[in-house]
Parts: sequence; structure tokens; C-alpha cells
Amino acid sequence: MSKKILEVINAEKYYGEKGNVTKALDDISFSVNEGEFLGIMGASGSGKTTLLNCISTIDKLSAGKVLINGENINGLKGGKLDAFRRDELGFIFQDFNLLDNMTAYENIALALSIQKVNHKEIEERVEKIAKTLEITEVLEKFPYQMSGGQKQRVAAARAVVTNPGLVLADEPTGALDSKSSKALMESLVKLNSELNSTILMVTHDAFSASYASRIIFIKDGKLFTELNKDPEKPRKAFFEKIVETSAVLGGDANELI
Amino acid sequence: MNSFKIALKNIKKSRKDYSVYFLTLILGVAIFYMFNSLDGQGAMNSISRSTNSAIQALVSIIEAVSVIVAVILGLLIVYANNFLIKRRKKEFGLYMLLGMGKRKVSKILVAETGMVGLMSLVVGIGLGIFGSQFFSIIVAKMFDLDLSDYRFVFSHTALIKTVINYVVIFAAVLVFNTITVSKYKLLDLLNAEKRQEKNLLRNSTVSVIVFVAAVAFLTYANIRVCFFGEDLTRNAMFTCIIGGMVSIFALFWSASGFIFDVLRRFKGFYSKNINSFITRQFVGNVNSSSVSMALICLMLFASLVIFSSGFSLRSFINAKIGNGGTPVDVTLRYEGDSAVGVLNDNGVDPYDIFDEYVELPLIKCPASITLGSLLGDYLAEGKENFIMADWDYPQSVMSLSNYNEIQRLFGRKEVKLEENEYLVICDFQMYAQYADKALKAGTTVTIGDTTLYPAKDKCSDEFLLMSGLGANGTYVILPDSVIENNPDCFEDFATFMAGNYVTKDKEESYAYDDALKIGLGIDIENEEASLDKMVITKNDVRDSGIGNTVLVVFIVLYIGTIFVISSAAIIALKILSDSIDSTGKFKILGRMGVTDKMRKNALFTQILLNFALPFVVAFIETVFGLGFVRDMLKAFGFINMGSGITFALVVMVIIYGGYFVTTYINSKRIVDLR
Repeated sequence: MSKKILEVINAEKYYGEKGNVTKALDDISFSVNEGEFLGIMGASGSGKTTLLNCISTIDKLSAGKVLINGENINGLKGGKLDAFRRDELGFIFQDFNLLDNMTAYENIALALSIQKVNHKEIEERVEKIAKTLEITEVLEKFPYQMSGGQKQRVAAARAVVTNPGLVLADEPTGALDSKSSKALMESLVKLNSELNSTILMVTHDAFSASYASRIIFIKDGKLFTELNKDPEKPRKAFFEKIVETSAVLGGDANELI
Repeated sequence: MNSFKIALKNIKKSRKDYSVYFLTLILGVAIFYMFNSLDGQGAMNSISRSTNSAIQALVSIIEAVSVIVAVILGLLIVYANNFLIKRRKKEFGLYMLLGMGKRKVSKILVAETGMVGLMSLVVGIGLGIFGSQFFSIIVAKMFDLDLSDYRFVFSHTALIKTVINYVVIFAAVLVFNTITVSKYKLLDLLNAEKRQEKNLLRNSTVSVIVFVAAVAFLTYANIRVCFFGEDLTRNAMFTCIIGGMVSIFALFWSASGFIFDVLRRFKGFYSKNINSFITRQFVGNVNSSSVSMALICLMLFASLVIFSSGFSLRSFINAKIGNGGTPVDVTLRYEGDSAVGVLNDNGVDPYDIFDEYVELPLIKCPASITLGSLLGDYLAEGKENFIMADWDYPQSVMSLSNYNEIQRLFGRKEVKLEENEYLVICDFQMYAQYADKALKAGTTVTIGDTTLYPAKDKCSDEFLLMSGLGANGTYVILPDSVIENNPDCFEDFATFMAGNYVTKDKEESYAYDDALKIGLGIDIENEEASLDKMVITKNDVRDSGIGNTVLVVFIVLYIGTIFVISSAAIIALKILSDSIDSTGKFKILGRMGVTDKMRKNALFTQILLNFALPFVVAFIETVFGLGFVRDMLKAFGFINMGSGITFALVVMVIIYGGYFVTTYINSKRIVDLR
């Protein structure tokens, strides 16, 4: 049995005051193993973004626990919290979140330099990850000189270059066209299989989700169901299964993807 | 909701953005009021009556300067306002999307601008009224003035002037805003925030070359002006100044590329912590505001120089009007047989006025002793610099024994001369610098058969007639025997008289001054300088000294302060606007695990560098520039510039530092780092 990187235990998150409480997360529990590529799916307002924010330490749970590498992140504060984000987490966002006054190289290198990695090692590691993600030729370019797909791969490189315990991707293909989406998802799979990165991806796009190895569906803050990819069958089969589940999940023709 | 309510809410909401705008407006209004209310101030009243003309001059100069100041402040306010409007494009876009017409948006903006203007006008005038009282006290202390008739003064004229000025400025701002809004397109407004930064750095090779060239030229010009300033011809001077200004612009234009190129080479430094981010931010700032930075640098330079020179002038004049410069109550030069005789004829008995006095003859020797002849071989050099001078004008001559009588009265050391020596008295450094050279070279004076040699290798820095500015005529002192033995060479020229009044009372001494002047036939209502009847009293010297100093110091303070405020405000606004653009970046850094402390450090360093860069360049230029100014002022006998520079720095640091702190605090709030 492989090591559990992330454990979410009875997670609950409420908004509002007494008597008028909205439950954004309602008793959710699941775990992610080392080297796994987990997708979380759900409609808008299902609570998937809240869940991701709670895992990424940007928000805090009202009740329950989130353990990363066995550590309860709810108890982290100040410097420890920063250090945790810096060393254990890597982020990929829908809108790339690259620093637009710095080159791709500098964006990636920054993640390492704040870990106080020596500059020679920084160079080696940036070049290596750039090669894996095929962005070597854009390293000296600024974000505005790159395509959306390139930007997102640079963001992915920045997220994994520090070898974080967990990579969190929030709708990574949300701002990309279908071709770039495909390339990015292939890159993520490559990172997952070659570098053994553990990836947690939130998406509502069935196509992107089909690249994951396991998918959790959330509806109205509750765990709805879970799908596992059959390694024997092609990705297309998994995609169809996802679309099917999404339809049931939505329960409304308008929310069919 | 009407426009007024929306406007009020907006102002409350964008306090962060408005803080620097408010600060600038309030300071601007306050300073404008303070300086325009000067004539009514208590301190001014206690400068005695004969300084009235100086105060009149002060008021008219301040009025003239106020026009320039109003234009500068007007431009600054339009600029600041423009920043605020730009910041809020999205908000305006939202109003329009919700169906609000451009007219209504303009109306909201008019209401906002009006309210902000009104508030800052009220606060500014309040501050100005109290500031001017405080200012009065400082002025009084500065010139040892009597504050017994001090009272709280409120100047209606200054108030009206200030209000009119600001109403005009705000009217301009309103027109400007309305035009801006009418040009907006909804799509651009809504997309304003999505704009990606395209801060392309300038080509690094070109930057490095331009930077090195600019630094090289500045160094050359600085050294030339500072150390060899006296030898520069007009053309060379012009080249240095214009070239220097061009170099400053080139320096800032290329600074971003150069700094980046250099810092990036220090990989250990560049890849440490978030240094790469700080460098990029700073370099980006410099890159996008190189022209304004260069202008700011020049403004700071100008204010540093005028502050320091203005305040050195103050200490200089204060020293001159002290006891060393006014040893007796009155000195006069009268072209006629005897001033005493004239006074007696006109019914003024010198014995009634004077406790002690001397009257001594001044003679001349047009054949041997003239303005030109004393310069010997250096006449040509002198001619280059004094185009207007009459080189054949005979210099006044006095016998040694007569001169020593004056020395005794003035409380100065008596002088000794050999039979073949002469002495030149001159405290007018512009002339003395050439005379000194001639004396050092041993230039001789021939009277009849006698050849005289210089007793000293330079002029004696003394005077006969008192003067607040150290710009007296030249006197040649000859041994008594030379004058007795060559009666044909000399003609009577004038008489010199000096004495102390019987009274020590200030009011009475003014009465004596008048009596003396009237007795000699001088129209005191309409006193004009004339060479044949010159009466200079201790009161005159002191009053005109104070008057001139007050004049200089006030003008300097006025212009200097406005320059510093404008510079600081422009930097502050630019940084605040950049901070708003950087909000996202700081958020990203936070998500990457960069600690709050590190991010605050980054912001602080970036803002500090932005404020420091133009200041440091201006300061370096000032040090060299003042070297030259010092040389120029030395011609009038200036020595000490230290206190002036210190004062200038204190004023700068307070205003500039205040803006720096305000900017940092607000930027921290903007990028959400508390």
C-alpha cells in the first residue's frame, strides 16, 4: 500500500450566521496516495473550489481535518504556513498566475530561490523541468510573448520544480483552447508518471478529467461518487463514463457538459 | 442615489488612492496661503520702517513667483487627478454597463472633484493660517526680530488669492475630467484591468553604452565645473550645463537596462530569495518613468542648490550686519570741501549729534592710480569679466595717518607702511581677485619720482563706507611723505566722515540718520544712490541686510518647497499606481509561500529605491554644483555653506520622507499586506 499524501477527514465548511447557515462542504472524506492523479469534479457551486482552497491553506475548514504528509494543516500559522506552502505545495491556476514582469525562467527559478536553493542547482533544475515540459525555447520569454498553453506549462513547471508533496491544479485548462488543453493534460500525465508527482486537479471539463487516474464527484458539498480509471481500457471509455456520471450528477439537462 | 451620494461614497472608498492627492493639495494650498499672507505677518511688521521697501519688493516678487507656483501646482493636480481617473476605469465601465449615461458619470466625477477640492481647500487654508503664525515665529528667531507686537494674523487678501487660484485649477481639472470621460469606450473601460504588462526593457547593450557615456560626461562636467569653474568661458559653461541636463535624461533613460544588466550578472545575488522579483519591479518602475524621474532629479537638484545657497546668504548677511560690518553709527562720503561745513551751514551742529567723529580728506591721482592701473598686467583679464567698467576712473587715495585715525575709531588694528610702500583696501572680491594677483606680482605705483611697492601681497579686506553686501569702493593708502612731497600729483576728491551718535536709542538714531541726510541735502523720501553724497548708517546696513535676506530666504523656501512637494508627489503617485498593478503579483508570491515579512521587505525596498534614485543623483550633482556656486559666492566673500546644506537636507528629508512613508503605508494596504 503506497503512502497517503493527503487525507481529508470529515471536512465541513459553513458560511453565514446562526440560523442561516449554508454548508459549502458537508462531511467530505477522501485520501490521495503518493503518485496519484486525482480529479475532483462538480458543477458550479458544488463546493469543489472551497475544498481546494481548504486543502491549499488559503481557506480554513469549520470542522474536520486536512492532513498532508500526516500533518494537520489547520493548525499551521504564520511562518510555518508559508514554509508549508513553499515546500509542500505547488499551484497551477486557471489564469496561469505568472509574474508578468519576469521571464519564464525567472518565474520557475523564483520558486526555488525562495527555498534558498543555490543558484547553480537552480539552473540545472529549471533546465531539466523545462525539457520535460518542452518549454526550453520559451524560457527567456515574458508571459505576454507566450501562448496560453505555453504559459500554463510554465506554471506547471513552477509548481513541480520544487518537488512538492502535492500539486494542486485549479481548472488548469479553463483558459485554454482544446489543442493547448490536450498538450497540457499530456504534460501533467507525464509529470505524474515520470516524476511521480502527486496531482490533485479540480475541473468541470470531462475531457481534462479523463486524464486523471481517479475522479471524485461532489454535489452540494457532499461526496457524490467516485470513478476509477481502468488501466486496461482506453481513455475514451473513461471519458464516456465521466460524461455519463456528470449527467446523473447534474440531474438537469442544462448542466450537462 | 444621486451623484452627490455616489461621489461621497466613492471618496470614502478610494481613500487609499486619494491620500497622496489630498496630502499634495493640502500642502499646496497651505504653502500658497502662507507665502501670500507674508506682508501682514507679525514678524514682517517688526522689521523696522526703512525695510518697508524690501517688504514691498518681497510681496511683488512673491506675487510673481506665485503665478509660476500656481501653474506648477495646477499641472501637478491635473496629473494626480489623471492617475485617479485611470485607476477607476473599470468602475466607470460598470456604471455605463448598468445604463448610466456619460453625462451622469461626468456629473459624479464633477461632484467628487469638487468635494475633494473643497475639503482640501478648507483643510489647507486652516493649516496655512496656523502654519503662517508658526512661520512668523521662526522668521523672527532667524533674524533676531522683536516679537513684542506679535498677534494672530489672518490675511483676507491671501485667502481670496488662494481660493481664486484653486477654483481656477479645479475648473481646469473638471474640464479635463469631462473630456476624458467623454472619450471613453465601454469595452476599453471594462478591459482596463485585464491589460497585460508589456514592460519591455530597453536593449541592454545600447543601455550600457548610453549609461556609461552619460556617467562619463557628467563626471567630466562635474569636475570641470566644480574644480575649474572659475576658468570656464561662457561657452564651456553652457556646454557643461546643457550637456549635463541631457546626460541626466540619458542616465535615467538607460538606468533600467544598465542596472538590470549588472545585477543579473551577480547570479548569487539575483537568485537569492526574491531578489529577482525586486530587481524586476524596480527596473520596471525606472523603465516606465525615466522621463519623470529625470525631471524630478533636476527639480530636486534645483531646490537643493537654491536652498543651500539661499541659506548661506542668510548667514553671510547676518555676519556682515553684525559688529564687524558696522563698527560705527554712520559713515559718509561727500564730494565737497567739508561735510561738517555743509551741516553747520544747514543748521545741523555735528556736536549735537555725534559723540565722536572724524572727517578726513580723500584725494585722487588720475595720472597714476586708476581702477585699471592697480591691476597691472592683469588688466586684460579683468576687462574680460567687467565689460561695463570705466578703467580710467581714479581710485580714492588716503594718507596713512588719516587712515589710522579711522582704524582707531573703527576699533581696528593700525597699519604701518614703509616710505616706498602702498596698501590697497578693498572688500569687493570681484575686483579684489584681480588686484590680488597684481599685488602678488609686485605691480608698482609711480608718483612723481617715487616708485611704490605693494606692502602686502593682497588687498586688505577692510572698508571705509559701511555696506551690507561687501561691495565697497577701493582705496589706496599711501605714506604721508609721498603725498606731501608730490603735491602736484594729487587733487582733492571728497571727504570721508565717520562717527558715533550721542544716543544709543534706536528710534532716536533713526531721527539722527534723517537729520544728517537732510543736512547734507539728500531727499530722504526719495533716496537715490549718488556718488557725491553717500550717507550709510548702521541702521541702513542692518535694515537692508535683513530685508534682502528675508527676501532671498522666502523666495528660496517658497520655490524649493514647491519643487520638493511636486517631485515627491509625482513619485508617490507613480508608485501607488504601480502598486495597484502589482497587487496580483504580491498575491502570487504569497501563494508560492513567500512570507509576509519578505513581501513587505520587497515592497519597502522597491519604494525606497524609487525615491532614492533621483535624490541620490540630485545630491551628487548638488555637491559638485555647489562647489561652483561656492566659487561664485566667494567673490562676495562667502565661506560657510555648511549650515545651508544642512538646512536644505532637513527640509527635503521631512517633506520627501513624509511622502515616502505615506506611499509605503498606502502601498502596503493596496497590495494587501498589513
